[in-house]
Amino acid sequence: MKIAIYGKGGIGKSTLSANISAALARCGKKVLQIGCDPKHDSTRLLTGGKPVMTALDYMKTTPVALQRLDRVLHRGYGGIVCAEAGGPEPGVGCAGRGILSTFALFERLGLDMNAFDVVIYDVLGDVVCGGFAVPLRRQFADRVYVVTSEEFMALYAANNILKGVKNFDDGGHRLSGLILNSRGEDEDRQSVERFAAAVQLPICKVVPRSDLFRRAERLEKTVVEAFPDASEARIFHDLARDILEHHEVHPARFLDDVCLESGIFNAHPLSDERILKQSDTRSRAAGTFVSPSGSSARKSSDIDDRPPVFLSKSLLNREPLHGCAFSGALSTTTQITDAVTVAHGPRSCTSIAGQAILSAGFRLLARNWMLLPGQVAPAVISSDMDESQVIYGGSAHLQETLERAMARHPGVVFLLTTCPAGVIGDDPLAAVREIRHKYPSVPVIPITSDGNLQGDYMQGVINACMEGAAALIDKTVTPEPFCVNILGEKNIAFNTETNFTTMTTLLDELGITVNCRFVRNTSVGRLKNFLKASLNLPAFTDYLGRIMVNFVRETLKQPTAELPFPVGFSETVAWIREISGFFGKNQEGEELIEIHRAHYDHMIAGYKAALEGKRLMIITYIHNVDWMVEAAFDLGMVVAKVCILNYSQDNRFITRYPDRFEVETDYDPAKRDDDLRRLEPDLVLGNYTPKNLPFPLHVDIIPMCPDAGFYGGLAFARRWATLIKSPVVEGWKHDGI
Amino acid sequence: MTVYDASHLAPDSLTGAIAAIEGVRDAAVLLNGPTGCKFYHGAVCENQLPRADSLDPLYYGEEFYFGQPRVPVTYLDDYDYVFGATAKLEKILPVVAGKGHGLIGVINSPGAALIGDDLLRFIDGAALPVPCVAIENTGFSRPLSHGFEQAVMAMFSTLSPRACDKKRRSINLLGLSIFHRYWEGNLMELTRLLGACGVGVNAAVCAGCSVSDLENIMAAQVNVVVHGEYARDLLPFMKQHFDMETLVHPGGAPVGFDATAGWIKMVCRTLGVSPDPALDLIRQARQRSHQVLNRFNALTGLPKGAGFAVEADASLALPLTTWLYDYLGMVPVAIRVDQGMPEQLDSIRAFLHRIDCCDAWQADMATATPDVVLASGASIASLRLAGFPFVGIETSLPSLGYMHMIPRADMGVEGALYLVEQIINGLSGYSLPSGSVSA
Repeated sequence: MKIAIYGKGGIGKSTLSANISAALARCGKKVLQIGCDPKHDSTRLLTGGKPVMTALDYMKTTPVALQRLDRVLHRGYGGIVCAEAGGPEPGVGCAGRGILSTFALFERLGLDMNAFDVVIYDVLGDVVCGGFAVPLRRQFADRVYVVTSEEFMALYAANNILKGVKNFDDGGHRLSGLILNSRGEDEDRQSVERFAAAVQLPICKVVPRSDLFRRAERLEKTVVEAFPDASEARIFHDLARDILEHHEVHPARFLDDVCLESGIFNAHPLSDERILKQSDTRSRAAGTFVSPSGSSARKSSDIDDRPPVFLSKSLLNREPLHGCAFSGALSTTTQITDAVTVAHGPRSCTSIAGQAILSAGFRLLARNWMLLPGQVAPAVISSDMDESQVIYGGSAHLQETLERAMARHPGVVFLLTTCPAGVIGDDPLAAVREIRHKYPSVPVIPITSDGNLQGDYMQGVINACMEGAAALIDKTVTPEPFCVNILGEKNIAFNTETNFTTMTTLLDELGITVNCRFVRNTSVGRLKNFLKASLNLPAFTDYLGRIMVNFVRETLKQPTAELPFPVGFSETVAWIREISGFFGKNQEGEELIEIHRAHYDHMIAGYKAALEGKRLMIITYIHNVDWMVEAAFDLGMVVAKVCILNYSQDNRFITRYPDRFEVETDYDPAKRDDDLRRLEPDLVLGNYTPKNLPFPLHVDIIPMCPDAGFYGGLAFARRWATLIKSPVVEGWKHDGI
Repeated sequence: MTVYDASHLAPDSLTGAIAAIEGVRDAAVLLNGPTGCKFYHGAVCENQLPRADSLDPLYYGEEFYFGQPRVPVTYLDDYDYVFGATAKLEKILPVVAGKGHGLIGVINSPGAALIGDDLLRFIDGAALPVPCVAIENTGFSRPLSHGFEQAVMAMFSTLSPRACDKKRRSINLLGLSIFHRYWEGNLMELTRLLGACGVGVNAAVCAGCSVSDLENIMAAQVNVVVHGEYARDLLPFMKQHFDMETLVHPGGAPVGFDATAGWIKMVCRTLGVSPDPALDLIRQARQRSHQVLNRFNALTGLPKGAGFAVEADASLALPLTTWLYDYLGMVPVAIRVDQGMPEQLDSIRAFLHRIDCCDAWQADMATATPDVVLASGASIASLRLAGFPFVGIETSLPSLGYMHMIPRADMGVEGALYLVEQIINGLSGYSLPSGSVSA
């Protein structure tokens, strides 16, 4: 049972919540209380006044990789587990966003709410923004109590809370009733009674004003703990019993402001139309919820089946985030040719993310005259969130945008959210539920993004693959022989298609077909049949590639090749042997290798004369340089030094030639000039042309993603052999302003 | 499910605000937002108005720059949205101010606009030796031009230009942005034509001008609008703050011979100078164009009767549509206009009505199958997917990436000749319907 306790700020919610928790614990119940107030004092009376580490402070100071759930859960009175969201200082930042982040942290760290008999959310004041409404979302609270006093502002806040509950009440009623925390005997309770009658809610309990609360607070205890036999404590025991025994819930009704003032405080009779009723009559049993993938909520017993969490390198190490998850996810979902992606946010987000997609598409068009629909006309619809949606919430407009997506008759609709949607706490799942209800045959899949609130570009790619594309996989499909999938091709690289062609040509030679590219230029049908492949081939084994491999192995329980798409002769030989060995085609593999070996040797001989003995220095972001080092060695060149720069997309440098050249990882560019003077290379290779070299040098560019296959390294040998004959400094370089 | 629609990738007011400030040669944008909002803008601004000598990320490895020379960013993340970006803002302002810019524009990304960091407080607290503009909210999904104009007005408000002696026969150009595909070539061409008449350009506001140009804005006798969409709010602003009149040509931007002549005459009439030297240049260009078109038309019958599509703002769509119809005899089959001054939008619709082409208004380009498409590179590329042949001429961003060594124009004499050249070369491979070819 999960209970949200709302009410105006300063009305005594935290005191009531702590006492209810204490009473429930005295009944032998396992209780979790989560304080959702930046003041982080909700559980103070349960922890004996001990200051606790809040979730947000913990997130701020601890890298994701080191975060542990037990650091933000604190044991209090009666074994009650206490947590505080915390938040910013008044006047800065966004406390509502903090609530969203806290719940995301709990989910990521695997907090199982279902393992408790009762979870109590103590929520700040009013439902001021989407963040504070998080506990109202169906996944979290299945019962709502509203605390009020006799004062107008308290009832005004209570009425607002009822509006908020109604907004989130689409799948079943959740209101249990009002709790009156009285300001004293002299107060006029009739206003509360009239309000309760008007909105048709019971007053579950009246808590009288009592000095005992102040005395207990001085002891930093609840009344239930400090004065267990007092009548005030009995009120909470009664309330706890009510909570446990009575499950009646009510629809959310609220009053308009005029009615609230005149009808409740001035006792004018209320007309029915002034009571805005819950219009949705589709009432389900409260407490059920639909998970993003459409399945029912997990039970506590199957918590061990939680899928592993895959995090990007930057997120894991708490590094500055490069790009945003929204952009990474968009670059992935738009690769599914019969998908439409709905981008919930302002136009700028779709525009900016779209440019990265177009850029690669335009290059492909210019260089190869190749038009890929997903790269030049990505099927994306922006909800074009405007000022009013930012203020009042964009769920209704999102619903309309999803309808427009459906009008295109897609095979699947993906929903991505941007930073503004995440900051205002829009609940896209409500719109998803509606559209699924209306179009049950079309999968509608939300993907965790919220701009960069959920991570960087790479995290978006990861989420789109694992939450999006993988959700389409038909688990009943069985493997077929000589059939492979390809994992983790790079959608913004310029040579992805040519590399794919190179690799499929080699696979064809072995009699092996490609089933599905995960996720690149593919379709819903191919993704559904993902399990037809008997082996999965990673295109890369960089950080993202390794995550893909782990996902396919651990989550889909499918075999993957050890080696990535090879670059250069040796890697290609090893790759062919691995693949042909897996499929029992060793002989075909060796024959294929021999054909290419002869051609490779012939080409090496052609370029050797120009390059033999030349000294090479490499300064690069890419963490696998063996393909070019191999070509250099085969050509008789000397590799003086390899300098690996810090790169957001990878963190593992490996080489087959550990003793044949000097290597420095996490290279400081400030060392470059000294290294150049010391090593005197003939040719410097990098990912960009360097400026201000200490003396004239031949320099050339190497791509972030090299060409795959036997000749990927050799392709550069041809260029180097020509380049080395060119003037060391081109004439135009003397004309710089 | 085949849909070729690049409209959802069109930029909005955030890009407009950044383009305005980065369009001032010695001004710089400081973006308070995540890196996701930075990289594209850093790249496109450097592409449209290059300033850096190197693109090697190693030269821009310091905090906030993320390997790019332009648009440093506070790289907001989840934690900053919760706790605010105070520490980063306090740190970044002196770093950017230390680069020697003449003005810094601090712009909130859409997400940052929601957390309400008080940018002016940080700017005041930093006591920087350089003027700073704060734009806390560029608008959500507003047109690019809205962000552009807001940023221009914010810069003027901060710089507070003072009255100065008027330069005789000088104008300011308003409504030209570095986000226009051929802004540089157009500026050169308009400057050339005006210069032929003895008229000087005092400042091309936020299109390659300098901070001191903005400070001396009142030296010009009058403002002249190039693209009306980018100057709607600026018109009353310039009158109210600087008591400056602004001219808007009803025919839109000076695109094509007729609109160019009309635009020049309007300026010259106001300044009391003769437009004849520029009209002479136009006449010479028309003769050159006639010579080429005469030969081309004699062999092909084209471009008369070729269908064309335009996807542009009204200020460009109006003169293009009228000129391609009246001068080249081409027929509009799809005229897609995103935004524009109401009178220019009305003029386009009225023109289409007059020539019995009402169906072309906002028509789907793929369905209309035009022979010539004048649109962004993105729209041209997506339309290629429809599979029919057409001549694609880029008139707006995003570009397909062709780099022009000689700055191209689509305005003025040079622009008219360039468009004719593109059209006839593109159409030269076309075959006419069978039976209509004469020996």
